[in-house]
Amino acid sequence: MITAPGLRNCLALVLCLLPFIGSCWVSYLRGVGGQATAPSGIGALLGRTRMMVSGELFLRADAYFHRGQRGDKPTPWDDTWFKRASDVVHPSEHLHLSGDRIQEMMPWLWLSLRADPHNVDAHVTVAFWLSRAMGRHDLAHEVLRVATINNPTNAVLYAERGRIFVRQGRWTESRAMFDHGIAVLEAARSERDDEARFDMAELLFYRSLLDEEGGRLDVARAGYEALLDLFPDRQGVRNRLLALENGAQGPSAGTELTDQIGLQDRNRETQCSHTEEHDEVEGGLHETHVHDEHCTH
Amino acid sequence: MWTLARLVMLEMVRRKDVYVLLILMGAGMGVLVSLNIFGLTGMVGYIQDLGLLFAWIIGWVLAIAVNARQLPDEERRGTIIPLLARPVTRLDVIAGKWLGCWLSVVAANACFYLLVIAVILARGGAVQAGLLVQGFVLHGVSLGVIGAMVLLLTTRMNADASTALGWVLVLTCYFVVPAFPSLMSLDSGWRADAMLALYHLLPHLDLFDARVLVAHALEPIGAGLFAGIVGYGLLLVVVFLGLAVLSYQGRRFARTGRL
Repeated sequence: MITAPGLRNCLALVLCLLPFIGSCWVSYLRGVGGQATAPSGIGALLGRTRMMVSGELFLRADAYFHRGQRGDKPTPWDDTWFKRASDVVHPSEHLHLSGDRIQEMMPWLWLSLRADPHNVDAHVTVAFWLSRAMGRHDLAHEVLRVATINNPTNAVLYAERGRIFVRQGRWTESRAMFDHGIAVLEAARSERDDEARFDMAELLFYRSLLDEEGGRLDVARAGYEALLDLFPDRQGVRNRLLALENGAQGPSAGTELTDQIGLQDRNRETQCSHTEEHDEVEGGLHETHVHDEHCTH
Repeated sequence: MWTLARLVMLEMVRRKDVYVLLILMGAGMGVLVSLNIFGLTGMVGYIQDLGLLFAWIIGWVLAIAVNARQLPDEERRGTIIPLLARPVTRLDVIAGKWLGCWLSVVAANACFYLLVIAVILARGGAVQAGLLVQGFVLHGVSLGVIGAMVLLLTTRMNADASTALGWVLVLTCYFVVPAFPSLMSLDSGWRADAMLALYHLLPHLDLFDARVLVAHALEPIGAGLFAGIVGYGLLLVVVFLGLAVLSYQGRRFARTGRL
């Protein structure tokens, strides 16, 4: 026979377990291919603070990428016993995850996306690692497909999908993505925005290389000219345009494209969200990119 | 002292706090395991990391709550008077209460760690036994320090005030004290001197948190430094308990309540 206190305890236990069961059910129902526009549970719970939470989770993923190492700046009190002990318990060497362990940062990125579906940086980062380090191009495309539904006017997402298609050697789809990205930027009419100009230049260059490789030389030429309108000092692009007009045999446009994206990938693999701090602390551990005449972005 | 410690442990078993927290932690771990992260499998790092974080938070909750109610409850019920009428010194009372609380909290903590380990192994992951033992021992010592600190507060405050101030102190010692060196370099004069004094006086609870080493499978702490940190923790416990005994020596009780 169930007594009144026993019944109360049972009810309390059921009430405690309900959120857990509900959460399991929602997690079970939601896969990668879930409805992108459906509000995420975490997002609904957090309201507008989700952006801050998403940013923190993104930084947490970055901490995982650095294997938990923190980049403390030196202080005059570094030779105290407490600080020395703390440096051993919370080390600050510069390490990066590699190989299979890359996927250990994925849960934090996943939570970051769940907290804020409009966090474009997190989407691009997830897609990059899924595609580049784990070879899961399918998942990377799916993440970006969902991201473009939530953020349809963000050209960076189309550029990233285009890069993934280039890695896969699927140049037709790649060109379509770069083309879509350019259309989005043109529709936004944000030529005066520096970031948008750099994005546009990058997309124009990639699309022109693909056009050149595909034999659509007039379209490629128009693309290079549009790029030079934005950045007249890009000597590398000017040389490429001159070679195209003179019919000179230069490096293959396809090779140029894969080389460019490969170089970008290698830079991104060593990139941190706090590169400046490392440069300050460790005398410039990361390769610092300097824009020059060969630069395309 | 041992009898008092045993009574505190029996009370913990009877009060069911630990079971509730264990169920909550189990629910939390269940949610973590049920997450479908891009359809990928084989990731256990986040389970270990968040599981140990749960253990830390629950450990703090238990250590503060259990220690904060010991002396005030005895005083409220009036049982402190017959207790002190026996051949029991106030040192015995303080030390017995602390020991009972500490052993209970560490035993509960062991259950939380075992739960995390079980989930990791069930998911096909591996645990670094040496690092985990180091982390567990340091965590246990930190719970002893927190317990002694809260027990000191209860010698002069009621349970609610001790709990609130205990939380403030624990969070300050964990988050603010390690940041003093960076803050000191931004300031000068008496403010920097005051921070330097606090930096050396307040307990460095962050030294006992080896979760980063465990979660990222980094190098274990060297034997010398490990012993040093444990020794530092024990020194803090002795200092706080000594102060608690001194503070309690001056207390007078009447059957109607506190004087």
